[in-house]
Amino acid sequence: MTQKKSLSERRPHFVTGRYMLGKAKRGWSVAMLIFIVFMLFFTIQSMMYISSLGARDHYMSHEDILERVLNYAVSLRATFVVLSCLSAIFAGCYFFAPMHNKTSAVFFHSLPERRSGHFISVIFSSAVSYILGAVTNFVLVLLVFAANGRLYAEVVWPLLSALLLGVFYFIVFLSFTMLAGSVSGTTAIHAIMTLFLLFFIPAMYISVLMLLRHGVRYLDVGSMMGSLEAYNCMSPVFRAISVTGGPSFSRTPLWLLVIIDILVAAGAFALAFFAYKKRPVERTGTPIIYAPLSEAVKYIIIGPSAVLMSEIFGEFFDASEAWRIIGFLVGLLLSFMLCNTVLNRSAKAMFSHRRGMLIYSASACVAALIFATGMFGIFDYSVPVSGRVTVNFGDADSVTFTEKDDVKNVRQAIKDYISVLKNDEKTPVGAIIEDDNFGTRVTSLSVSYDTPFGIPLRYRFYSVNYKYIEPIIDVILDSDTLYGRDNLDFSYSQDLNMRFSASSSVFINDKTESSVPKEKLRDVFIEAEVNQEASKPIYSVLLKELLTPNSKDFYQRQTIGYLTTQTSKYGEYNEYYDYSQFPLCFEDLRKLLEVAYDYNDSLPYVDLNMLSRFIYTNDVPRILSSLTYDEYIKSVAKCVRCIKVYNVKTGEVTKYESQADIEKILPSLASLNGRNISPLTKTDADYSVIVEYNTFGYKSYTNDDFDADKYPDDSKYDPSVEYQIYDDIVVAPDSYQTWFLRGDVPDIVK
Amino acid sequence: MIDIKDIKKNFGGVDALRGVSTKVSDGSIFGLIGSNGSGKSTLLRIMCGVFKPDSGSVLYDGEPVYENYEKKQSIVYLSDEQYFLPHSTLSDMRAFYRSTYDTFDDGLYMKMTDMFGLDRERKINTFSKGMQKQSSLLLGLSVRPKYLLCDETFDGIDPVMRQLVRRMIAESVAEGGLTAIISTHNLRELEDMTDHICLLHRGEIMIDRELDDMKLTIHKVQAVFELDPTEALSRLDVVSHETHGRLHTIVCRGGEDEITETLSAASPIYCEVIPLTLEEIFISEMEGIGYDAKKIIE
Repeated sequence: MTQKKSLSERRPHFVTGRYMLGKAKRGWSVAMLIFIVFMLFFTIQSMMYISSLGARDHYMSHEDILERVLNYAVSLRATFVVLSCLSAIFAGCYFFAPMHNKTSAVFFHSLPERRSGHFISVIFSSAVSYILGAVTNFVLVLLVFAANGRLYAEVVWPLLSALLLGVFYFIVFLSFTMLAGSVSGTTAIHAIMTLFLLFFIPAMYISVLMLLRHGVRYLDVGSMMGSLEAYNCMSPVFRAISVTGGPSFSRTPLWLLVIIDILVAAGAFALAFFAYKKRPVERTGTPIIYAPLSEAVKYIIIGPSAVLMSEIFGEFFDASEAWRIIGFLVGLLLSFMLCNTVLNRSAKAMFSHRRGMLIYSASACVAALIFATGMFGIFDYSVPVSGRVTVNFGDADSVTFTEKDDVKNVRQAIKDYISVLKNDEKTPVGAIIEDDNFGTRVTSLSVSYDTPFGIPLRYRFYSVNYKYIEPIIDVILDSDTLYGRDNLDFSYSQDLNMRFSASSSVFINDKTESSVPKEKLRDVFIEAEVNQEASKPIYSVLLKELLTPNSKDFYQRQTIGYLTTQTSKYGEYNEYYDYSQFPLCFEDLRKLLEVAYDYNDSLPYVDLNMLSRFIYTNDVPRILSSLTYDEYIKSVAKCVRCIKVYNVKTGEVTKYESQADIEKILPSLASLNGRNISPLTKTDADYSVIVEYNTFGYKSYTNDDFDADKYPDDSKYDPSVEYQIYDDIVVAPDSYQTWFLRGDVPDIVK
Repeated sequence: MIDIKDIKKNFGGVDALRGVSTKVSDGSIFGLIGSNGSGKSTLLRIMCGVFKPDSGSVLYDGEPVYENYEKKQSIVYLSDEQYFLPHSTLSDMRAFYRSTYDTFDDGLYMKMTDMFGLDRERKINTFSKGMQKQSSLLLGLSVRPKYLLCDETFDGIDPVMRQLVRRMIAESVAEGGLTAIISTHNLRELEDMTDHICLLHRGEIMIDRELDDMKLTIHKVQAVFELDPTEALSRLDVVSHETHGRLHTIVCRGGEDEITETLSAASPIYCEVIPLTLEEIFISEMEGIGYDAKKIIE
């Protein structure tokens, strides 16, 4: 008796609906597992966090609660996407498993079902399991938010974006799992193959960089290795991180990353389908169905493994080159043996295909040698064509150029610099400033090119003589990009000196009040608070607005210190702080201190270095009261013991000790303490200046456990003596190297 | 009708099938026999569309079977290694087969499970090996396929149940027009069922004939001769010849009359022509091509 089929059981042309439904039903255990995992790491976690916010209602404002809920909702996106990706791999492997078993593969392929039916049923079953497991949990989380009264309108989109991204990356990862499944012959190899497909390109990239690291001088391999941007074009894993993390994680537009993943997933599905259609069932059980692919996979794995082993040997044996080479060869051999064993499912096959291995080893050694010698300088001296160039000096923030003319000008300036590097015997590279050589102002230059493939090429030139890169400075200063950008923070490379005294030695008298209208500043702050969506107002943004340069002259001024801001933010669990530093030019000083005075919770200290060290906000009124430039210079001059001017050309050193001379020289200095010079501030290359102060401080400090009693009293302090406080701790006069502003060398020096 | 044309299949450098061609008539029981590794399972898997041949074709009523799901609706392949869905019962498998084959017959399924005495709600993985084979068979037969391909399916089933299975297949052939292709090493059993025999050896067909024809053209003779039979035997197509004292046991091709007449030249004192069993034919044929246990032992 043949029963009548229901409508859902009718056979469509391409694939049998009821076969797919049957397979999906049989995979209920997968759906359940996915449900449990999401429940544990997504729903219960959300429940705990959202419930915990209830206790804070009585002491936190609605805005603070909203901010926390928003932050949490955003952080859930990462959890959801990660679990979705893992679900795709797990479900794909599970539903593909029958095709990796000889008996079941023969059974299923003998059934009246097309291969396309088998293939699509795996995708369908995986998707159904995911929907039942993950999407159900998502709905539960929405209910958790709603039940706790936290489903604010602002939270809906972050949560919804978590779902959309989760579903999207489930599909992307499933495509890779399907491709791996179609070419694998066993379930274990299927899982390994999936990881291989996801990571083999980044692994090869890292291997090449690891090799290059030993041979290049200027290519910044370490930075390239840690650049998420570089990996974005290599694997959906990194694109998922970038897209989930949002714009702060990636310079590449997020929509572009999504489009790349759509194309990659479509390609992977198509390739997987083709491979499955052609898949010979009789090879089921063989680790990799297609023999040529098996060999390719083997040799792709061997290369990075050998490089990794080489690095391990190098680490263990004091970076010895000989041991690195031995490590490389050992890595080649071991990975070859291991791959052969796994891919042939027999330890007896460990040494099969020896001839291929010999040829590969020889090629790999030659390639490794070429890379390890820096590709004959190709990488070091190339100036890549790029639509986007980023330049920075020292550890300062960078300036990025995308305008065609800017990029062209920067490129030309860099090319000129590279030609100096290559050809000029006066190469500035490697110039190390000696204790008694005050002449050379050195900096580090870093240039990053975004190549068409999305892999940034980064170069870093250390200890560069400043005068060789002035053409690059000119390009930067002439570019509108510099003045249009919202991020001005050219902070400085030195860490804070460890100072003993704090605000006790402020030299400025308390006389007049500030002329800056406080109301105006307050308006600016209020505006900023409104504009901040996800965190507390970041005052540093405002300070940057106050400091926004409107001409190249901005950088060609004397800096006298810097303002450090500390802004509190709320993370998922803890409050944390964001520090920023701003150069203090005299024209800005009054405004900035006013800000510091009004918002002392957020701006804990101002550092005027040689004058006050750290000026705490309690002292701000005293500083503000008499801050005129002349008085300031006179105050500083009183603190200065002497100024030594070093003529770079003649090697002659002239010492100035009179107050009158010091007062004439101080206004011409780029900085009063040497370290607050913007990288964009041009200085005179012919002179170097040492300013020695009457103050003193720690010159070396490596141990907190010092003897305070040995520290000299202010009244007894002798600047000519170095005080050994405790083992490594030395107290010595404050002296700083600095330079004259370009074109502002005082007459008494000339 | 199944038309198998010049099928070749190579597995990693080993020729599993070397140009196999044969035809299976509708409503017949086709016996596929052969030595181990002769290519029987490979041929069956190609016939049911699991494997794709390197060359040649398998046509069911003129249509290829590979990736032809309409045609595969009428084919059931019972592998030598049964597969059942994990942790399934017979009822689960019934549901699966129902969803897969349009022609699944619930009534027949119920009838056969009762006949075999199998618990429909018990997990199949708790069944004995023989019971699992029975399950596989009854599920396959419940589909009421036009073509049933059995790969050593009867091995492991007890004689009573085998008898039952044979009867079921025979009935299906007689009533429903089933065409069964049965591969087995149990030639005695096959002999009672099959119409046509195809003997495979090392990927090639050695014999491909109707069983009755085959039996009429090969005979075993036991005789005691007065004269030396060498000259008479040289005129026969002798497959094998053994002597125990004066008793000659000869297997030779040819009709019974032709053999008797030829041997009469040696003045036989005693001569009896005995029809060969299928197993004897198989052994004789295999000996003829050097696949001889004695030779293997030597």
